[in-house]
Amino acid sequence: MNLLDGLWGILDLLLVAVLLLLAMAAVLSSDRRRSMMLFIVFGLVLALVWARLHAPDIALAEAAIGAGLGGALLMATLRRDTHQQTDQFPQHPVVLWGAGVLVMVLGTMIAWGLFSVLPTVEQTWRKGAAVDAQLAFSGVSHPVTAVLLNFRAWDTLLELAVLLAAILGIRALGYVRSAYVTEVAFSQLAVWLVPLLILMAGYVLWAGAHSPGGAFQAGALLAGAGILLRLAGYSHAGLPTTRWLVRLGLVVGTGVFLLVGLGLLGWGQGFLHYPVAYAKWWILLIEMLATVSIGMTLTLAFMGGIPQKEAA
Amino acid sequence: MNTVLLAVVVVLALVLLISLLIILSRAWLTDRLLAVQLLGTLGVAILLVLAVVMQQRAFLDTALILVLLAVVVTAVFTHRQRGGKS
Repeated sequence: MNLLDGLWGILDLLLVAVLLLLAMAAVLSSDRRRSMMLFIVFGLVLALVWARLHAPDIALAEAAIGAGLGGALLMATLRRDTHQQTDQFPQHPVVLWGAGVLVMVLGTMIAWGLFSVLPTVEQTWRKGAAVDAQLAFSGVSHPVTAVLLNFRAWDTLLELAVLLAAILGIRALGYVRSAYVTEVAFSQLAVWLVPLLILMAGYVLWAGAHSPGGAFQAGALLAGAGILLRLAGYSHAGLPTTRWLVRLGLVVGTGVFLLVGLGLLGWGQGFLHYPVAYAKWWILLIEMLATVSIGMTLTLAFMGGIPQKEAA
Repeated sequence: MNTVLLAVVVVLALVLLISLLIILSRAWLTDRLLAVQLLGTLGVAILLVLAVVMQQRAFLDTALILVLLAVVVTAVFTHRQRGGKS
């Protein structure tokens, strides 16, 4: 038994060492591409740490959004600008010292916040017990999904609204530049990988009802498929070519979520208080449409604007 | 049995640390890209063994997602290296 504890201890120390090393190297590197790669690996190791902390839901989200799609989006931003290879971070001493002081103040505040939260951890456990007690009325059997889509559905609705606001901003930037030249290697890769990504997205979405999974992770996988299609030379990345269909797809997640909430309000229930008998189906509908919206939003974010044909 | 598997995880994490140190010392982007791929594979391996040790099926899904999206990230990266336009 002692040996087992010792091994866990060594594993924790190793993970913390890798995480700290990665964070420092990513921040201190002067080359942005290098920083970016290190940041992607940071996301991967962070997913391992969440797994070690018995938080499979966060590990799954970190793997899909942090390490996977976040990396692809970061690299897309580098590609916009050809002068980025040579430019340096600001070197002026006032800027450097100012940033240093700001980081110290923020770090102190975060540490202080963490210490003041520690005594309430037990209370959080009790909240977890409260979720378990109400789980039967949520329409799903996985407590995290029950919280995200039922007990605290407001929060998830607002998250979707933030994503919608972001893509509106990106679309305001203008049109997507010309399509990629088709390359055999990428089109072969797409042939193999796109169906797998879509299949996995469907599975993760469905799994959300009873185990870790859900719309955001499924949407990230769909966007992965879109990005691959774009790299393989499909200028629309698998998105619809008609203008209104794209717009509908972007809005439908937030829109239907909101309409269901308002409809229930009109029905004499509270805002987003699903009747217990139908809760499962409302949640499933909202999650499916949210997945479509998230997938399309992230794909368009990678492309960085309005597709050409849609604009014509 | 669990002790042996946990020892395997510890060794994998050690390899993770060593390969990270190697990446940080290399200047070539190709080297680094390969090393990052190695780290990805190590992460997946750690997750798979942890899934058995901690008896969490969800870690298998996490590993699968990592594998699938790591290919996408590599594709985006190599496309950039070949001077692909967006």
